[in-house]
Amino acid sequence: MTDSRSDFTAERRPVVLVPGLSGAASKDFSFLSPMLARRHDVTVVPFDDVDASSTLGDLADRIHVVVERCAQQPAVIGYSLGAVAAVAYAAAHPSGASSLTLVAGWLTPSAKLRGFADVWRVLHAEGSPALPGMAMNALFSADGWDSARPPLISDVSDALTALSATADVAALASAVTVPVLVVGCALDEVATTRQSKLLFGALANARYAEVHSGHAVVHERPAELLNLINAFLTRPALFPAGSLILEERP
Amino acid sequence: MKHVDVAVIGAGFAGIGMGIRLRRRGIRSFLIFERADSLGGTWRDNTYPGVACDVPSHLYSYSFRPNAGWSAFYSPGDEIREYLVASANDEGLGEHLRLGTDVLGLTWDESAAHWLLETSRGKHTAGAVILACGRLTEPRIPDVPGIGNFAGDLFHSSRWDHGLDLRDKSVVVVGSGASAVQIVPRVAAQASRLIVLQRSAPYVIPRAGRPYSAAERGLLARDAEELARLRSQLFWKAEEAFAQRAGNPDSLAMARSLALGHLADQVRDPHTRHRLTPSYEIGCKRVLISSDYYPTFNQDNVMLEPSALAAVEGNTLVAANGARHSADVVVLATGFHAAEQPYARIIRGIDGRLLSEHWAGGMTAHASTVMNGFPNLFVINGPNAGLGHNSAIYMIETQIEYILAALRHWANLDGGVLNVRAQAEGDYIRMIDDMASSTVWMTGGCETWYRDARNGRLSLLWPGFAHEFRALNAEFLPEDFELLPCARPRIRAR
Repeated sequence: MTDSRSDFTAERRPVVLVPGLSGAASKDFSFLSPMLARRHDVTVVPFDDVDASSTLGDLADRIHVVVERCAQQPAVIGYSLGAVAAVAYAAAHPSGASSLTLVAGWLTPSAKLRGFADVWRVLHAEGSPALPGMAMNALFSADGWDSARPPLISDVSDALTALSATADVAALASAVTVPVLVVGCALDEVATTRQSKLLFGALANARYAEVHSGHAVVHERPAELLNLINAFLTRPALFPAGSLILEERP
Repeated sequence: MKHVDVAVIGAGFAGIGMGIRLRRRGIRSFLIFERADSLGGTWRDNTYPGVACDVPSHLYSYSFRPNAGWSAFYSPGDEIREYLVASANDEGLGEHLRLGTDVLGLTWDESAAHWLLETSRGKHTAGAVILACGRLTEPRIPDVPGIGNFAGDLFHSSRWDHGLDLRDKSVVVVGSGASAVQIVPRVAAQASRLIVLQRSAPYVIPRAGRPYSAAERGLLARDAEELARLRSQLFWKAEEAFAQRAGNPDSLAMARSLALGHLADQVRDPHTRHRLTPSYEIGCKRVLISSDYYPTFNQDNVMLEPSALAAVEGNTLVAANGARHSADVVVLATGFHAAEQPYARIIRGIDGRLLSEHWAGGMTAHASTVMNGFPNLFVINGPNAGLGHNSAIYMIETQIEYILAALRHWANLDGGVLNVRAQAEGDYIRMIDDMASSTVWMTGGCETWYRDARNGRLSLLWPGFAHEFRALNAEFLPEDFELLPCARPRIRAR
């Protein structure tokens, strides 16, 4: 992938970050946000006060509010449930975002994702000390274990975890027309790699890249993710819709 | 006088890698000039006790020559040198190597449109020249009074005197950089007394090195995909450290805490700990990796003198703070001339202009590789091509690809040689300065060889992620160049 020199010196363009199950960019985008801010104006959609009554549509509305505040069409980057919310947003507002990057997202909640949400709910209700370890085992891959840390219970929102089990955009995907980069994770046993690939299959203007990581790709391989995102933001159409983007081997 | 299409100067990682890639392209008309009698660059010159790489082995090697057999996570120096020798032999570079041949002058001949190389073994001409001279090759000897008259043994770390027995000797190591942290523990184990002269304290983080098991080496030998995956994993993990260099407060705080915690864990005496505590931001100078440097200062025979060398009087070293230490042996672990490369003083481009004149305001090059006024001349590992956080080999390979594309373009021309436009070089430099301005190298409050002392520009390092360097510089863009007239080159396009 190549950038032109002007891309490094060009006017800063807006980027909107949509977090995953933590609901907070400071937790999900602790690396990506400051590094993207070197070349872009970064704004974050807060999900940390989402409650149990919220729907996927509510999350999409929150994205809409932030996008409306941008001076120009932003690129929207969603991670995990944030990726699913970004699809719902783009389906409702086809001309809102300039592009979508969907990291470790899904089309339909897989059985494993629903299982993760169930176990989370039960262990949390019991106050179980096994909860952080269970979450770490599910979210991180064996290959990314060096970066793994047991998530603080406060790092994962109950409401968002419950919502993820029902967040389904299969019926909305055909309304999304903007350029999309789908980033799947080869070792993702939560969203599941297949569900990320189904997003790629369902979104007309999508291209697909894969990172050798578990669901917690923002912690396991943040620099590789940054490379993919920067390349896509710089030239969204470099890889035509339908492309499988080969892994860059250093 | 023999003519070749391409002359490569230097037979270290860059020169050998360039030679391999040229040969694999089917190009045979090239020579590699090396002033020493053997190849290996840094890994030939540096043979001091404990010499080892601080980039993981599977990353500090050519992507096009993966080596499943690395003995350890971090390779010892001689293993890297052997890897380079084997690479050159296996790839058939022998017929191209001219060892023991010092290039004394390199001059652009405008009428013939080629380079004239004056070497210690005769003259050659070349259509294109690639400078693969490295950047840590010329020992920096402190310019202090009396250093030439030291009464005992005195040598630079890259010129180790292996005939010298350090047992029962009083030794002074001058310097506390990347070489010193490897040398000091080994010398401390032998010398009766060791004093380390430290101009400024480095940050040191733990070295998680370990040998690879036979099972791991066997797996990597049998499954190329595992090997490629390991290299990727190491690369992207290393990339994360650039967030510190970019000045991200959270990343800096984590790195600082790691290093200062390592110091607190390993050095007992609070006074010594205080003296080993850096006074600038982490990353501004090279972050060192060692788990046996700090504990050395717990030994009774080791003393830290937190001051620079100011003078030598007989067998006494005088520090800038006035302290005086007698010694039998002095090891100068004082680094290299990096910001001002001596080769720039022997290269004359268009109108006889010296490269050192072009670089009078600090080293610069478009795409970190080509200089206006020096046609068909390429430099690897020169201006803004170094890294403070990832593998130099990745950068070298990126530059090799750029040069191969340039040579291919040149070979396909109807005539002409490539001279990068001044505008392109100027734009690139402005972009570099802009990218560098917020990095810790510019804001961290340290004196570092990464910056040019003449004007403070960050001239050695690439101020971004390594992957950004490749994204920006992998592609050769003909519009950045003007063509100077000459006959059609003889190089064959591949």
